[in-house]
Amino acid sequence: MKKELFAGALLLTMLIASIVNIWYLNKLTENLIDIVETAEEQALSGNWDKAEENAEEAARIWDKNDPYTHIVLRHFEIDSATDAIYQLLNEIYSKNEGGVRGETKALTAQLDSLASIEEIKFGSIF
Amino acid sequence: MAISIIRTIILFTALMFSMRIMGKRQLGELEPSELVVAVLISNLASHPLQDVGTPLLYGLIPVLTLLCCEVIISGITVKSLGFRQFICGKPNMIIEHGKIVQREMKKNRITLDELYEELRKNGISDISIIKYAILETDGKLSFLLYSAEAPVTPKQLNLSPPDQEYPIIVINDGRTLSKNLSVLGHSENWLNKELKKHGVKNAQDVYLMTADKNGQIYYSLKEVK
Repeated sequence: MKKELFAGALLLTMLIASIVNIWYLNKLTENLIDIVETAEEQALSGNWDKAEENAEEAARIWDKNDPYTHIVLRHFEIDSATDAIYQLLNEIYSKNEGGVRGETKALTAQLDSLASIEEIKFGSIF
Repeated sequence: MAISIIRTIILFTALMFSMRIMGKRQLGELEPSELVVAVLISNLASHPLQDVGTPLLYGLIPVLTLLCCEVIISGITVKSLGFRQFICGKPNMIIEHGKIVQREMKKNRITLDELYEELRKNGISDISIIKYAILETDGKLSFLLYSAEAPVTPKQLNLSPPDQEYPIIVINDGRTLSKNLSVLGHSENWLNKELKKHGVKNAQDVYLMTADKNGQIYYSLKEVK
């Protein structure tokens, strides 16, 4: 009976850990999307310095979470998001309004998809 | 992570029921849940090993989930007879009083060739000597012969031979296993005496030597190169 209880407890612990993971990943991606959208607004209103600061902040947060993301996300997903962040930074440094619009859309879609892959939905399961 | 756990549980359940529906002949010594774990576990473990871009957790979590499912299911099957029958099925009578039960043969999709193969493997050439043949839940056939056809036991002959003891290895490829000697209640002095008695000078010349509590000894010398 001890083995069965241990197995049940382990299964429950894994389920709780996975729910905590979903919550943390959602929080991380929502935070990044907020910062990136703020950077876009500032860039489109001509406030390029502030836009740079925000985009760099987004890159810093993403890099800081590297140990976590490498444990729970597939590495090609991490690489795509990292590329999208630095692509946006590049457009902001170049002061290219059209590029910023496009790259912000690409990055937010990328971050949204990272969070939605882990969410418990019918579509994700099947 | 949560998706991995839910997907593993769904696949485990689906595969287990598929195995159950496929019938006992597909199993071969394993219960359905054990077979599913055996089939899935090696593939799950190999995926993160082959692809370094996949986090190890993607392999570990499904493996641990399978392990938990198997332990929980086997625990419930021990406790509940109904659940055990639901998961593993019931043994089926294939031969009853020397007659093949054709309905059960069809139900379990066993051909006459396969039945005869099993009979030959068990050294039986005549179906009429079998009282019962039972297809067990792990897919194996068990045979119960009529008493008149079954091997005679010493008890039936009113004999009382001494009970056999389990032989323990005392020399393994020239090495003396002192622990096993003490389990038998003997010392190395006893071993040396026994070796001398059999004309062996040294324990290192012996490839295998076993002894039991009745004092029965078997030994085999190393081959000379």
